[in-house]
Amino acid sequence: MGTYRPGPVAILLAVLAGLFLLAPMLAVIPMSFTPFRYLKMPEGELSLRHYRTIWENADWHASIWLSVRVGLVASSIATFLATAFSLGMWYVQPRLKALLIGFVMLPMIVPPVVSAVILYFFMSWLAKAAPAIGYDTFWGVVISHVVMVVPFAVVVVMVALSQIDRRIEMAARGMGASIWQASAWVILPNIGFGLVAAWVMAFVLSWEEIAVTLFITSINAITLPRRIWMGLRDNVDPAVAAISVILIVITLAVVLGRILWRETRK
Amino acid sequence: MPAPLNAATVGPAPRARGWRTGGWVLIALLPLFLCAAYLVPFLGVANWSITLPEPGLGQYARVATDPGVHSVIWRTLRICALVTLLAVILAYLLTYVWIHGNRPMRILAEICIIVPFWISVLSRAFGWLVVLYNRGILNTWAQDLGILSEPLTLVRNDVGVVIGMVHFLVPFAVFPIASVMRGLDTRVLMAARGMGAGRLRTFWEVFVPMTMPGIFGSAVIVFVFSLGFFVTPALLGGGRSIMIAEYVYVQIFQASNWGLAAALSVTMIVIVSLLLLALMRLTRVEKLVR
Amino acid sequence: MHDDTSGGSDARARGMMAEATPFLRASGIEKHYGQTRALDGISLDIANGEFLTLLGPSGSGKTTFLMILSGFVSASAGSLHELGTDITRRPPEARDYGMVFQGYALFPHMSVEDNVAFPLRVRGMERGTRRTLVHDMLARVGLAAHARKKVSQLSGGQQQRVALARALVFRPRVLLLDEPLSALDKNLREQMQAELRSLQRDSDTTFVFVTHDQAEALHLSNRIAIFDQGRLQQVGSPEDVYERPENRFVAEFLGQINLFPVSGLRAEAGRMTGAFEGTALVAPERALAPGAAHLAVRPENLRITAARPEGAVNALQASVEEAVYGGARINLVLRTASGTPVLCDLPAGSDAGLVTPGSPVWLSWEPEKCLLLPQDA
Repeated sequence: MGTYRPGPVAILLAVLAGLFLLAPMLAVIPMSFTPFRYLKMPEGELSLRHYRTIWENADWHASIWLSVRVGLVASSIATFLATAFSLGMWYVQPRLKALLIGFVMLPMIVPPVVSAVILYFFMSWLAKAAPAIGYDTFWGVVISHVVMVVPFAVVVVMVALSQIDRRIEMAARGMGASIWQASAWVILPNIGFGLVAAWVMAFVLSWEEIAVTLFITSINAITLPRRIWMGLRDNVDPAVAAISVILIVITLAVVLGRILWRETRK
Repeated sequence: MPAPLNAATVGPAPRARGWRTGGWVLIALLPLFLCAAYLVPFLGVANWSITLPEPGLGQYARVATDPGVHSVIWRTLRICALVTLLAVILAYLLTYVWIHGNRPMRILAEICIIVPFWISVLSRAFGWLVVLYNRGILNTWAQDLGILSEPLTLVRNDVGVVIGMVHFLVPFAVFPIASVMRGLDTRVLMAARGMGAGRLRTFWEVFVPMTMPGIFGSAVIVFVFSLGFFVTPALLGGGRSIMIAEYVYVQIFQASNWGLAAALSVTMIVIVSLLLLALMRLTRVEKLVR
Repeated sequence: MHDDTSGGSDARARGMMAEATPFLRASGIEKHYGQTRALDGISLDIANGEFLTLLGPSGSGKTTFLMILSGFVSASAGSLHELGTDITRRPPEARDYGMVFQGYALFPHMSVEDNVAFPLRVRGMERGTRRTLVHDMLARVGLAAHARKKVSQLSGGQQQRVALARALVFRPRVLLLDEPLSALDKNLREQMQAELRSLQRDSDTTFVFVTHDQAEALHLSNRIAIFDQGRLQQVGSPEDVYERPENRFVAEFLGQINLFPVSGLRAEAGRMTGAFEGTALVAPERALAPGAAHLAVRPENLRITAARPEGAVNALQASVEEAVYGGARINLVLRTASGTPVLCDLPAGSDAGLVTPGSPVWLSWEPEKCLLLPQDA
């Protein structure tokens, strides 16, 4: 990178920007230990009652479990669809490549609220046609989440494929392999890391999804973000602080672990 | 010793393996799924916009003329413009340190960018609520220190919405800028310094213009993202500072005016498409992705 | 059929092949990329079991032609026949041709033996037979001890051998090689050339080999097809193309050659005589457009003497400008009286007194050792 370095003014301003980004995450930590039943900073005495709520309350459990299941299923379907699509595009290189990619990217580009209206329409229609997978059901949430996260999975898989030497595909093909043999034995093993990355990305996005979920669920399929939302909307429930701290700590651990792993390997 | 090569015979590869057909089968699954779950429902929404409550372009006329809708649209555009400006400035500063700083600075900047990126939008909005509300951290400290006598109202208004949205969008603003800054030839900057240009002058007259494509791409992306933004304004605006996305939500779930919600959705898609077309005209999108 | 630009040497080369149905026949192959023509009317027959080299500078179209043979690139026009069957549109996976790619394209996640077993595996061969064939093949290329290693643990030369083993293990009728040796250092390259030749002899497989290295092409091939600017310039045995190039490009591409512009050509008794800087020079007769031509002679065919040799037909006076010692040979740069530079390549130790710079000498050569080339269009 040469020796061009930011000056003191730039560093000071960047530190302020960094603090701004970290501030809300630091703020919820003391709040989660408040002994009060409403949103009030602890004064002296700390309490674990809100963590106990998360630990013991069946509603929170049901929501966490639902979000885990939705995340596992939606991210697996999304990764499968994204991998098939990207792999096919990589093999065929069709003339309509840009158009097709643009089409599958739509749910990522279209404003989330518009996607939410579209999926609300779809789920309302399914509620009449096939109530088991329509509005306010597990499968309804899964289908909607697949729509919303699949473009991100496509991007990750396509980046992974772009790192592959095309000649190994040509070699496999030249030796007589079918497209399925070449995919299963040669290409997929070489993008394994990208597939895992796509799956994790899809899972996290599904796990956090709220904008669309608000439109397509009501009283049965209450995912964790939806329950948090309910805890924030009217009288703010400090249990939200506890669950937020838990989520932040997990995220922080993963991100720091990755940075540490990368930096020590250098 | 070399074994003879012409002894064994291996049959030909099975014929008719159909790479092309197989390739199209692989390609087709996802677009078919999205056609069924996204494109056709979108057409249904578009149909709502011209049939509910009665057939015609009445809902679009309302979008074009109704002062209530207009005030929501104008507030949305105003807030999004301000949010874009602030998010890009903050992102630029952080990216600058992230790419060009020394190792500890780089790691710290990365933590500040990546950790919020992965944390749920709800947790982040909630965090700002804790900081900003009347008995929140900021007001409590300011009053304890005697800076304020009365608590400042920072949520349930535009201030809270802007802060929350900027916070959400900074990480997204970082990536296009970072990809441009990374590709920058730092020797040019060294040369500018070597020719006697000061630090500030080099920054303003060489560095900033060279990273302009990144700034521009970042601004368009942030602006597009912010337009349809729903969660943060709803939580930090508290029903007082309504933006277009929340307005759509209200139309569907409280006013039961699906036609207007649909017309607004179609309008938003048109606006976003125009913005993205402009972006593609001016820069190559592929460059901003990686 | 063949285009008519090919001369007598090509006709001879064709005579060696079965006259009935050619093994592989490319007719009028063209490839266009937008406005540019990567290949322009390539017609070429390939005989069963021969070692054919496609030689040319980069961008000459040789690799494109190989890719069309393999099926990975489709021709814009023209056809490809194998034993009379049209295979122009047959996809690569159905051609059963082995291919060795530039950079080898080994499967990085597989062991050496799994790489070599791959073509057998896709053919559904059962494990036991597969193992035997793979291990015979690995023994053949001297890698029996490395069967279980990952390909990344091998040296460049060993990876090259794995690629060859993998491409030959399923007994393809044709092996296509795309600059396979270009990444190796000189010694290893020469060793691999010898191995390639012996593999080809033992396997009865037709080898089509792409290279830009002239010496490699001359060492390895039964026949060489020379490409330039998307056109086939000449096809023939190494001797043919080296000794009897049909045009200036082929003559200059296959090593150094001195070109003397001659004018006023006339034919008599199987020879042609023309004037170069006032001196009459004689070469074997050849059908040429009337007027000027080039008389071409390779540096190693020139002799140097202190006086004009008795009875020499072609002799020119020149002075030595520079002498470069090169081990077994000495390279000289000379200049004729009027200043035309001439290159001369002598065995070391010969005529030591003459090769010092500044000494005036006589250059002479047999008429049979030179040839006439048409003036450039």
